[in-house]
Amino acid sequence: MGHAVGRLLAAALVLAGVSVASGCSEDRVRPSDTLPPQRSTSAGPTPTEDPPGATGYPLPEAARAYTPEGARAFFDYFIAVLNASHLASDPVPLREITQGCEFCDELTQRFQEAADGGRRVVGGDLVLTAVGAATMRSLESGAAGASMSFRLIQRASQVLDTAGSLISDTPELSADGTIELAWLVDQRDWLVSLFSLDAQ
Amino acid sequence: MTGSRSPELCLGGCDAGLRMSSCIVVTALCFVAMLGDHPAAGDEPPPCDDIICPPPLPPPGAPPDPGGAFPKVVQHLESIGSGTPGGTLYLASDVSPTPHHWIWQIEPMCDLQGGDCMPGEYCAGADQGVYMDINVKPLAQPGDPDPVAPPTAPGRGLPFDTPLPGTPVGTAYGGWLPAGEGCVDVSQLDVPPTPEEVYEQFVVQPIPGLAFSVQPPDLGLVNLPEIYYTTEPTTGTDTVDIRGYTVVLSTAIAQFRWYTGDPQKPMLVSDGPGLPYPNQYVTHTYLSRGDYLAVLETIWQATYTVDGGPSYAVPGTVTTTGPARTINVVEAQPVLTDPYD
Repeated sequence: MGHAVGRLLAAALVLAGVSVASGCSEDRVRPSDTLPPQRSTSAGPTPTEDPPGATGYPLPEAARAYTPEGARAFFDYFIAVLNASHLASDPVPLREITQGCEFCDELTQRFQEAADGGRRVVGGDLVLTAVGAATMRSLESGAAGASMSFRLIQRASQVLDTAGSLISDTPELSADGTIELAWLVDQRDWLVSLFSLDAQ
Repeated sequence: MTGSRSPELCLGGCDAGLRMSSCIVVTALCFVAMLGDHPAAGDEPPPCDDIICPPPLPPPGAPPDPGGAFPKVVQHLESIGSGTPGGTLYLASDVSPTPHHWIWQIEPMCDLQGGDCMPGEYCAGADQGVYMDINVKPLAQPGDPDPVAPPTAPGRGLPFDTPLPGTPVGTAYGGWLPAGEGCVDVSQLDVPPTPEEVYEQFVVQPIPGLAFSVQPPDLGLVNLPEIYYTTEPTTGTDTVDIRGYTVVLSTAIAQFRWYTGDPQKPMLVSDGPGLPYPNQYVTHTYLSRGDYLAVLETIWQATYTVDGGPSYAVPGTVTTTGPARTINVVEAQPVLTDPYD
């Protein structure tokens, strides 16, 4: 009976936080065009625990802070990993940095199906064009996290079959969206708990 | 619409493999596609491997969405009581409240084919309520934190994420956020009846169970095929009023199930009503003497029009059962006779 209300309240609570007015500059909202360099597997001491972030995509130190800037840096990192997962049709990296994110789960399934079907995506990477200030939830709330609204474009893409023949051709598209991040206090790391896109 | 549920975001539309919760799926057009003309395998759209997918094109000649373009964005959603037994009953309207903080997106979410729920199952006690998936999106408010213009006033009640710089006050921003499910009264919206609402009317129509005839009449012979048929009307028309819209239901039998009473072959299935001798095509041969209780079950489907508009399939069927009749099957005894007698 009351579960809908409960979910409404839960949605509100999940989104609850302290509004932060940060001094974003134009540079801060410009996305990175490249991924961080991949981790070397042959050098350095043996790690004692799994490094934060997706395997093969080291998490930038700037993203390991529970601040609006840290949340924003993780968002850039997430988009980079998402693009890499998409272009490689490899769901694993995306899966490693998301939890309870329904749309992310569907994307991983989609990428897996593309890989299973031998299809290859050319283009189609996401580029953030605007990001709002991160809203932070209280660390003492027991559900520390952050959320941001944003706007992005998906560059034009083509999907090819195993023989290289064109299957589909998608023009550039834009969308508004919201991302919610959950903060892992012990690991000083984030996980994406919601990624919502509304195509324009 | 949330990214995980928007048809525009390539969720396969009516892909039966998708979970209900994943597929908002179930647009009213989807119901029509599921029950109506299935595209040939070669007509399937290519899979979408992108993150954002272009909206699917409707099949050529397809009528417009019968449900009034769901998912639908409404200005106000207000709790007005309890649905039975599915949760809160909401009233949706396009009247902007003051202050106006959010807009809402609603979409029916009964997946009849997938069996997730049946129309009326969750909102049976809620007049005109339809079980819906509900999403919410914030509107930019005066004083929202803005990196360009720092806030000069406290934020609004619920601390959603902040709008993009330069977003005009009153403009929605961000993606759709899940806000739960519930029964939504859409009577104040100018939307035609949803397929779910029509189905709720379909199931309460007085659709008859059909009597049937057998040959030889009520007396069968072992090893002699018994013929089944019905001459009862197999189509019908009903007119109902749904929120002021005139809905004409055209019903027809999709399947006839003839229960023979014989454990050796308890049921015969046909698409038609059967015919008497010599054009019979529904028959059963009893192999043993006895009294067999036979009955005809009919599966009814329907199409509907709203105010004389295009015809759509009703998403669901109704099953009726006619009166039973006893068939006394006897064994014929061979008797030698003189052919010249």
